[in-house]
Amino acid sequence: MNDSRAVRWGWVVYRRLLAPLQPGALRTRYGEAMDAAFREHLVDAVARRGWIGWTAVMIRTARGALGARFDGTTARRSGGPRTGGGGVDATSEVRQAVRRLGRSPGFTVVAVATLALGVGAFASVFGVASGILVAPLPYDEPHELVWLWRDYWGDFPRGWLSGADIVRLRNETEAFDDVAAFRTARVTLTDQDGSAPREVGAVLGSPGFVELLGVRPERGPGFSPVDFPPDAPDEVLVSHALWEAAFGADPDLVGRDVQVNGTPYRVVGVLPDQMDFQVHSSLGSPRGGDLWFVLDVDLTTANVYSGQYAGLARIADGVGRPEADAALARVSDAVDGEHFQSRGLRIWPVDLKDDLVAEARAPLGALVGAAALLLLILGANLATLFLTRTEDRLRETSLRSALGAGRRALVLTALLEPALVALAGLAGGLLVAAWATPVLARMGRGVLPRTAELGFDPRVVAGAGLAALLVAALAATGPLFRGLTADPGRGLGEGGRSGSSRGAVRTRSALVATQMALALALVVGAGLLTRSLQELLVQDPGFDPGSALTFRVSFRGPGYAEDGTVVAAQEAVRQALTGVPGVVSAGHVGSLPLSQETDQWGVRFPGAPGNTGDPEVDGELADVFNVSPGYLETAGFRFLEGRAPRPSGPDAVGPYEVVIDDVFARRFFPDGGALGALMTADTDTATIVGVVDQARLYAVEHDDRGQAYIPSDVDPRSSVSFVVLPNRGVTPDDLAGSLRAAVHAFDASLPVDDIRPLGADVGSALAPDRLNLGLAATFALAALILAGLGIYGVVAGAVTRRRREIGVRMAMGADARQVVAMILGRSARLTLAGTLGGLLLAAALGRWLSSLLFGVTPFDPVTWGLATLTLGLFALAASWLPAHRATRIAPREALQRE
Amino acid sequence: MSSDVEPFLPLRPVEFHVLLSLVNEERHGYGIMQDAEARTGSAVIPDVATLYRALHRMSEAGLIEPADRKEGRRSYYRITALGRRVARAEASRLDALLAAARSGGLL
Repeated sequence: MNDSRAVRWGWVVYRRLLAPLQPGALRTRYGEAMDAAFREHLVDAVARRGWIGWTAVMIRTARGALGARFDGTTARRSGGPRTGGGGVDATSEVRQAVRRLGRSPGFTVVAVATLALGVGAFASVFGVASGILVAPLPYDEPHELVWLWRDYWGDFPRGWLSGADIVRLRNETEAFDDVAAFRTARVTLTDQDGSAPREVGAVLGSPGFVELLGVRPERGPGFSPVDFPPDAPDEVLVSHALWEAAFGADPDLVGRDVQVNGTPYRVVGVLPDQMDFQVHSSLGSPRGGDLWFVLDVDLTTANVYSGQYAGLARIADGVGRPEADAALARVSDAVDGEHFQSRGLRIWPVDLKDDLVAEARAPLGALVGAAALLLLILGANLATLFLTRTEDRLRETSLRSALGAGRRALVLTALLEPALVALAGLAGGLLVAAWATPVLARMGRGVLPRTAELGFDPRVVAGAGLAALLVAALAATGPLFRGLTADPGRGLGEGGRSGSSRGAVRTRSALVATQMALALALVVGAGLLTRSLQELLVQDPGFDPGSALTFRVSFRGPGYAEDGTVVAAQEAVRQALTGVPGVVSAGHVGSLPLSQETDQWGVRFPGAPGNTGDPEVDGELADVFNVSPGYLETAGFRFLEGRAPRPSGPDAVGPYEVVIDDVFARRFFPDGGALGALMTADTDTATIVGVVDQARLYAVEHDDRGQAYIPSDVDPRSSVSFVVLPNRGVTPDDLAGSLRAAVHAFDASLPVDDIRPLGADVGSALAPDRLNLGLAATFALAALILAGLGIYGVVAGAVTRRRREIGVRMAMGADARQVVAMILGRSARLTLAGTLGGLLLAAALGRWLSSLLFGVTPFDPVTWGLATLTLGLFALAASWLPAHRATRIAPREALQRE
Repeated sequence: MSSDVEPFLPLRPVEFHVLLSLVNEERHGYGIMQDAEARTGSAVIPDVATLYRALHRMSEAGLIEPADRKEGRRSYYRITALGRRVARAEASRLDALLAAARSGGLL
């Protein structure tokens, strides 16, 4: 158990919940001393008995704060009456309400428990959503920071800036304090002797980027000032997570050297915990890095045409956002005019946080909406329950009103029970949220940004408070309405009969219909997400990974400085892997399908029939993949015609071989005949030897830019993904050890990533959709159960109320079927009303969901039909039980009981 | 039994424990809780809110008073002469009750 965390949670509960319950005078005079004593008490108890001690202290303190005394003796203690006669006295009212709740433990426990779950669920969802979307990023003055992207005229969002753009922005405008260039990379980290290789993400920024962000290392001095001293060793900052994982949180790490790609780097600091700095790759998801380096590049000599960096700028003090945007536009126009013939290149700014959370906004918003709907249902549910209790107590209250207690007392009494239950539900909800928030954050890892910053924090507590308040207000409406409309004179007479008044029945029916409407909206939402995921699952990613396995190996360091060595080494490892028993074939590639990143080249297909003659239209950007022999076959690419490209060989001159995808083939060779045609890129020329189905790079569900597969030796990559196809019946576990051994037999210093099925990448590309669906389905199920409980309560109540009438009918010869039909007819009317309301609500909310849906419209008739059917069946099942009971009413008994 | 202690009897258990804890030395709030726990086991230690309400009442009534000693945010309390008499009176009252219970064969 984490002691300090337990104490922190307890402290939050105490400060926000328990301390404010104390009388003001006591707080003013003893507040500080009490706080200190509570803290010591809690720390001691946790240190001695862990969570048991924690719970004991919290319960004891809560009881004390709520006014329960040391023990029972005080209740009988001498002293005058506390109350001023028969009027309203808050303390005694509270005590009575507590006692009343205590007398029906079943009701109280169920109400508090459902409330705790609902409040906890909402609080954690709210905390996570606001932590991601609203909380400021952990940098200095984060609102002054903007990412800069360079968009070309085509459909190419978040393009890289050239180093030259960064230099111009620094020199030509005063609007920014500083502008830095960023890139992410993968590097190989080893111990000083080159052992224990591990592949790590890296962030590379131009000099001064740490100061630009305003991040101070948690330990260590940080990067030395630029060029000082000139022969100083290269420096690196280590993330808190990597410091713990790879270096055992060694306090003496700072100042030592580590090996990165075979070169020594001096560790100059450890970054703060939760410093999860992420850079969007131009098209893929944001990536962070566990090692931070200073980019050792002279930006002033950068090629203006080559996009290589994300730009990060800090807007200068006193400069407004419009001025900064205008200054940026001037530079952007200048670059476009001077180098791109004013074809519409645009450098544009975006707020750091907006950029990071752009893709998370819609799903998180929908999630909070779903949790809020669930809360509304919960509130309506509790309202009906409390309404029933108020009814039950009507005799008591009307007696009191007859005695002159008045409406105020009635209202106060009606409000107290929901308030107390809400308070208990809040406490329980905080515990639920304390557990659920980290779970949710863990589920979101890799799917949502900023999950490292999430935890049980004041935002979660605020969410819980908000939820409890909302539910309490809703729950109070039932009894409040009843309390206000109760006619004190008639109350006695009404209460004398069993059952409820007409007004209460109507209120309760309205509440239940509301619950059903809300539940239906949630079920429709969950249904739409299910259909959407179904559509995605049957989407063809364009290749058939089968049982192929993949892992990444990086060939870096002094032994792999030459392209030729790298090519030879990779081919040797590939041969070794092919020779491993149980392996059918092996190959390697620079970027796997669905990895979202690879190089883009401008390509042309001279002489192809699909060309228009306009050189600007006919030049296309291609996603380019460097493939070894055997890769396309092993990874399950589908050849439409031709064959895989052969290596061009060490001393090749002239065209090499290339395979294109069906996107290019359709566009440039609509009538076939691609084989043998030429593709040019810059000064390269290649002959098309094959056409494959496009294997999706960015997402399973849509066609992308055209793709070109070139031999790996044309443009060798230091880091490649190997793909091996095992024999039928050979499992990954059987093979992992021997694959690793085969690589390390060649060179023990090569880092081998996790060996995983290639098909898993298709699955994890859908992880966000699965997460959305899982949470929505949970909420929808909870909503159905609550709505079912609601309708059960109403129908059961009606059966009790009409017991006499049913008895009479049966005495007159009505058979069981007619009775059941009568009872079910009532629930059918409620269900119908709820359904209509729910469909209207779903229609109103549907358009919010549409950005999360694929292949299904928010008004999908199948989903709507199934959801309505589900709700109907739930309602039927919930009303059948009391209806069935009604048929067993013995006429004589029913009549006699009145 | 002197008449000035009469109105305070019987004491609430929390009040009695506070006085007991202060009989021999000055203590701060949490010190009183610890002492009560050491004396009785965890079953009857008061919570912070109950304790400070009692401390407030008892200071007002003159059974205890703030001591001169202070450590950071902790204030120390000491027992007054009146408090001592009240504690003693409560103890003999309880003693008499116990004796009665014993002679009645209850214990």
